[in-house]
Amino acid sequence: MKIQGLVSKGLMLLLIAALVFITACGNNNNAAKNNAAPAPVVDDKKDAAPAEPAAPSTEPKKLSIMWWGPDARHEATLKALDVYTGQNPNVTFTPEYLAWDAFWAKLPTLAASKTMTDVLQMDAAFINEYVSRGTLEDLSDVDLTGIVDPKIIENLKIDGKLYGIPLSNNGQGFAFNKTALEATGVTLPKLGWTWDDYFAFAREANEKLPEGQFGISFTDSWDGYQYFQTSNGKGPLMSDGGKTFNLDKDLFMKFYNEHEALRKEGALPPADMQAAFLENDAQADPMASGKVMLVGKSVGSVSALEDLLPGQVDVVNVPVGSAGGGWAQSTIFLAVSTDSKNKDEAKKFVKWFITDTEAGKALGMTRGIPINEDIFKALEPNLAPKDILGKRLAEAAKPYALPFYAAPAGYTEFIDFFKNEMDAVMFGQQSVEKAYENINKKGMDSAAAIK
Amino acid sequence: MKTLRSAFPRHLFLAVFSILMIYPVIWWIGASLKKNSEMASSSLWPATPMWENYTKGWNFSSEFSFTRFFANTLTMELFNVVGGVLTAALVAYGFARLSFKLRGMWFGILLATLMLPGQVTIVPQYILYNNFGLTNSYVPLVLPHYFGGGAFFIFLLVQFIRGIPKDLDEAAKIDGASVYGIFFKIIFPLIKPALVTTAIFTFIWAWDDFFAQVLYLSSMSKFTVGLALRSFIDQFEVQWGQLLAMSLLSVLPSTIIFFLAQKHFVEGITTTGLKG
Repeated sequence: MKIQGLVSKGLMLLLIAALVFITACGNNNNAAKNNAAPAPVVDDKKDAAPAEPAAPSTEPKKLSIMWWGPDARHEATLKALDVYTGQNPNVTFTPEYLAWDAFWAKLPTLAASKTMTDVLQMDAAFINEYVSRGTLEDLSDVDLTGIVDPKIIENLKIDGKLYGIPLSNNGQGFAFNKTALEATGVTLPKLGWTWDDYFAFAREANEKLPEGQFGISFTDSWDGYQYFQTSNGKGPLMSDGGKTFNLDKDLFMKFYNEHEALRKEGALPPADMQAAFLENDAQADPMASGKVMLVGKSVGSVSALEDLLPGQVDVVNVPVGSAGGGWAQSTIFLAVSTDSKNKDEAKKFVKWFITDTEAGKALGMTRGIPINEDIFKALEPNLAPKDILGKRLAEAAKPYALPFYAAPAGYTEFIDFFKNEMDAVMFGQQSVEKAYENINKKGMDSAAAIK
Repeated sequence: MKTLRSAFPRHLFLAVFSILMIYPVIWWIGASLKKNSEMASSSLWPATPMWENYTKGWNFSSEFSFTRFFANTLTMELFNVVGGVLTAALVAYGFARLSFKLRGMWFGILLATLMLPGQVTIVPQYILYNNFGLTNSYVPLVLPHYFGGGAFFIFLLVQFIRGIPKDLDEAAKIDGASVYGIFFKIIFPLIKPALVTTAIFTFIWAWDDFFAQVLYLSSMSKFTVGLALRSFIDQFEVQWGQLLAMSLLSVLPSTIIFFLAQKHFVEGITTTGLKG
């Protein structure tokens, strides 16, 4: 009895040791496998319609497609898929549509098990990660001349290759309250304005506007500052997938010392006023409340302002420096999985998605302003003013645009940290110099953690 | 009179803490009736209650309403609980009462699966179900409950059965009961408190297991309540009012089941030492 107990105890220990070993190895194997050529591990019966490149177009094919979005996008996309099946009766779809959150929770498992859908929606914040894992097909051979601005495509390339078909125009700029500025005689921001103009605008607004109203507000977000650094040619804060961190001290000090000077002159909202701002809130929005004349906005977010201040808002580019300023490109793409068995059909479909007028009409503005100028023109007569405003912001941003620099994974904490440090400066609790040291150290630590 | 006076401070103390504990729920009920712009305001109750958060939230999708999602989830749960309770009891009975070859080793393997981190099994399991063509169905969510309902519950029930005197088994055996007869007539009725615990936790854990649901269910017609709730959270915009209203409704089934089974549940806690 005792011996038996010992034996089973020993066996169990062995088993645990084996489990630990398997677990540890499993991860390494996975990492190694991801770099290797995709192995045909999974044979998805449902999607396994045989597809030789030379197959005749009447052969039935089933494309699986996955996207995220709100309900309106789901409906519109399903309609567009019907249009495609109408034009190509041999192709049917297995659609899968989720909310943003659920989409990104699910995708890593599909990628790891090599069962990603043939076509999938991609976001600028994640595309690099999935390209580096080798899960996305190179789409450089999809001919987009005359459909998408070549400059936009150039900005989207990863290591010289295109992995996502851009769907919509996005971009960064500033929105300003034209009505209020004209009424008080402040010079309006002009297309192509510079950072010097920006600070001059803040001073002029402070002179001419009534008490309690301000030209600009304090920039306490990391990307707000990053526009200053990139436009002056010093590149993004994080590069190389987050492994390199570069916070230019001279530019940082210049940018924030200028803000501190403005604060002393009373040209910035008091700290407690700014802390109470709540974007897109009818009462507490910095611009809708009438307290701030100029705020940074992206194409997607500017339409909310038009709802709050109908007919009063105009847009301008991010102030430029020697290198340009802001960004303008698509942040949402259609990509094709490397595991797809219908790559040719999938490539044909993703091109069709932004080319076909009927598809464009079915999709409308559900993925933002269509990247294809012809489709936009077809939609234009029926657009709401807020959509037109978004389009104008995209147009304003385009001539000066630099690439879009998102924060790589691993910088979530840094983003909050930056804001907290700068808010401490705003409340007069620490110097700009000290904030630089803290933020720089945090950034360096984040970069080191990624290595 | 005297007892009333001495009880008063204690009751006051308990009342204050009860209110403190239930405050988030009260805030939740109030917030489920607020507009998005009122969410951050300090008042507990909105100026005008937005009852449409409930109606709009219930019918948020053009295709399906929450009626469908609740029905989906509850059907799935019914199969989960039945499978979990029956098979966990059966397997536990085997481990606790029957002697067979390498019993210690099998039990060791069973317990070792408890130590296996769930993340490790996700991808292989997904590949497995995908090869069987079982993705986008409830099978991957329900089937595991029919293999003993999970190592944790088997372990729980084994401990519980070991506390039942063996004399009862032997008495039944003398009366001519078979191995299964002993299980159904003696053991199964006696472990009821532990089975209630198993049922409740199977229900709640399956209800909360968002990740498996998002992984294995693709089409909206099969969505569970948890998946549907996520639809209110979009990339740039969150429908807080509708989200809070629907999530309030989504906790009702668990709450109701808890109160209905409370008596047995408490019994289960005292005998198994397991609580929420």
